[in-house]
Amino acid sequence: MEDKPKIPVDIILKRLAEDADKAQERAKKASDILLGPLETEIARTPYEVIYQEDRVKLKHYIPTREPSTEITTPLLVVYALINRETMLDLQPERSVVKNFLEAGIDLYMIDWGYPSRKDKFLTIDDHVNGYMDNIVDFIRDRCKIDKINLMGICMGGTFCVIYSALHPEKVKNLITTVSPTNFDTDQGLLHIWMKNVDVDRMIEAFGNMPGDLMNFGFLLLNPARLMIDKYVGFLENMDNKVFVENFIRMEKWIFDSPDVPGETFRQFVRDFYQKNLLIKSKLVVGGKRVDLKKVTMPLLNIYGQFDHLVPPGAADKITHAVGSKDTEDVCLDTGHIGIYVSSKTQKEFTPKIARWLKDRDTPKTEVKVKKSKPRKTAKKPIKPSWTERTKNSTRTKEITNA
Amino acid sequence: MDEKQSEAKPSTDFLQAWLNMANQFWSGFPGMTAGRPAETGTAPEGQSRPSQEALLSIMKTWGTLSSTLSEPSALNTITSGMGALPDIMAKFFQTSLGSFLKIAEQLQDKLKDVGKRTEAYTFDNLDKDTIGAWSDFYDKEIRQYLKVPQLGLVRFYQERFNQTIDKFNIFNATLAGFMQILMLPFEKTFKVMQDKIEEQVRGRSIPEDPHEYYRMWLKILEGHFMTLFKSPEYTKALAETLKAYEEYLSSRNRIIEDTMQSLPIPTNKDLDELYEELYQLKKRIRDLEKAQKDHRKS
Repeated sequence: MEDKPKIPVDIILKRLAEDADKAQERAKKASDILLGPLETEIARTPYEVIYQEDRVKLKHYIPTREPSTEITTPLLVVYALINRETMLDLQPERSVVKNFLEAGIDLYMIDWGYPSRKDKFLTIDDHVNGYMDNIVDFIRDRCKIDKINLMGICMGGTFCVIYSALHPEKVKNLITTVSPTNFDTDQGLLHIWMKNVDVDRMIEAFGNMPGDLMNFGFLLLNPARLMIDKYVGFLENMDNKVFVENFIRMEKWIFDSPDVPGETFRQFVRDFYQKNLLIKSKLVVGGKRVDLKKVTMPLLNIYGQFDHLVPPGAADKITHAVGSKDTEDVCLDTGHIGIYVSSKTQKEFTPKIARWLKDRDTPKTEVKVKKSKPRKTAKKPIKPSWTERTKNSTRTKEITNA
Repeated sequence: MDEKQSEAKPSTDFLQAWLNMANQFWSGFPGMTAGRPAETGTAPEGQSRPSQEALLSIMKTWGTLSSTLSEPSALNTITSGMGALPDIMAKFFQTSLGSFLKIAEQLQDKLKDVGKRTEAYTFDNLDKDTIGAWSDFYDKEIRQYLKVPQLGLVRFYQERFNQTIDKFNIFNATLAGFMQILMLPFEKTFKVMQDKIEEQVRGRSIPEDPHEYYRMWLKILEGHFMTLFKSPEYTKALAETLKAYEEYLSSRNRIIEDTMQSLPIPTNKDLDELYEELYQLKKRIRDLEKAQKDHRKS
């Protein structure tokens, strides 16, 4: 007679009983942690607000070391209008801001604030040619320089591309990180859903696009992970004080969602997601066409291999569309947020940017780039120095002397 | 006289007696008050005060009305109308009951097929009948009452109010349908889990760690969600839910504005107009400032 396979119910039950004991122990320890003092403050790196226009503020971070002699041009970081720039300074050990300061970069960052109903008429033109341009001029005047380095994050990167095309004379180097520039892709759910959205009706109903509604939409992109597994993970680790503190920091950031001004949202959905005008150089902002061929400054484009909001297909076309000959694509082995907060990418992300800026910012490099006659190199991937996965997904266009 | 008429007679007699009594009561009332001297000396002698005149006028009107109503012809009209009322109610309940039974039948069918109908990683056969049963019932049986044309001075406001109720109901029905779609991956995941465990039992590779089951379940669930989210049915349901929500909000905002118009509080519409004006002015000032700055530099 064949021996029938059996489910080892006894072993499973034994393990479950063990787990229940552990859970009880964990809950006891967790209550002490949750009821005790917790360090959950975010954005702790010291800064001063040196400029303000309406709700928009400019933060200047207090340098933590002697200014770098290699990166002399100040760096302005432009965050998206969705969520807050505090993500770059979430916890002291994983802070992009802190790492930039340690690299000797003179760091400025735009805080877009919380748009209210009175901001519903603000367009992309007001953000790019208004607030951003005024801030860039302010930094140029303050530092007595002609050009600044510009770095954009997500939608902020899209704004930076537009700005660089409209004001190339004010931008020395451009860095885009997880920035959507090509919207004609079916890789991300957001790109599929946005095509069916009636944005006019949406803005009529809401005025500004509510941050909470957008957050709900982001949770729906992967409910199994973001609404179930994430909290299961929390329950399993709630006896670990450091884990709890970091988890709460992330919760604080992720659900701190300002509304997006109605007209800006309308234009972003219609002209970008639905018509994909930017990458075709057909976008019009403030009455002027955004010609990507005018983006002639060096461009570093960083994106995540597993980004579900801005998938590689939405981010990797820009280097081929701009007029610059000095462009580089870097695809990191992570997702949309992980690129800034994961401990692994922390070791790659800021050092890469600092190195890239150093190569283009020091007078020696500048002379070299100016004198060199750049040629378009093959699109063949060149192996970077970091992770295995990145090796396969990085494309690099190099500057070489003819 | 047939049976029906004889049944209706006592109610007619009662109504006639009541109307006669009311007629006598109200016709005597103006005389009673007219004959009384004025309680205060403010009104000139022989003249009644305006409030008293108004009261007398109302009483006379009611007296006329009640005497008219007690006429045999008018009484017949009323009683025939009242006789039709049970018919209308019966018709209403009959159709409503029919729809309820239809929903119950569909739910019964669904319960019968739980676990049978689900197919892993496909969302082509969404249970549209159950999702749409309430919507159909609402659309056929209830919505028409909210669309009855309104009359009179406040018809405009009443119409907007009814429209908001209508939009709210549509939003709730759409949301229920959307939530049902969101629950489908769970249903399908349990089915796939069952198959996987059976397979593992056959292959003698059953995990002993309970966490392994959770990880398996989560991975399958994630896969189902991804398949669902890419399906045109989901995209359509999402768009419809958003549409219903936005239409309800717009409608609700309009009645809030109607209400606020009678209060000394500015409405969103007022503020939006002001904000737009402010926005245009600020933009003009900024442009002028920039032009001035450029002019100075040059």
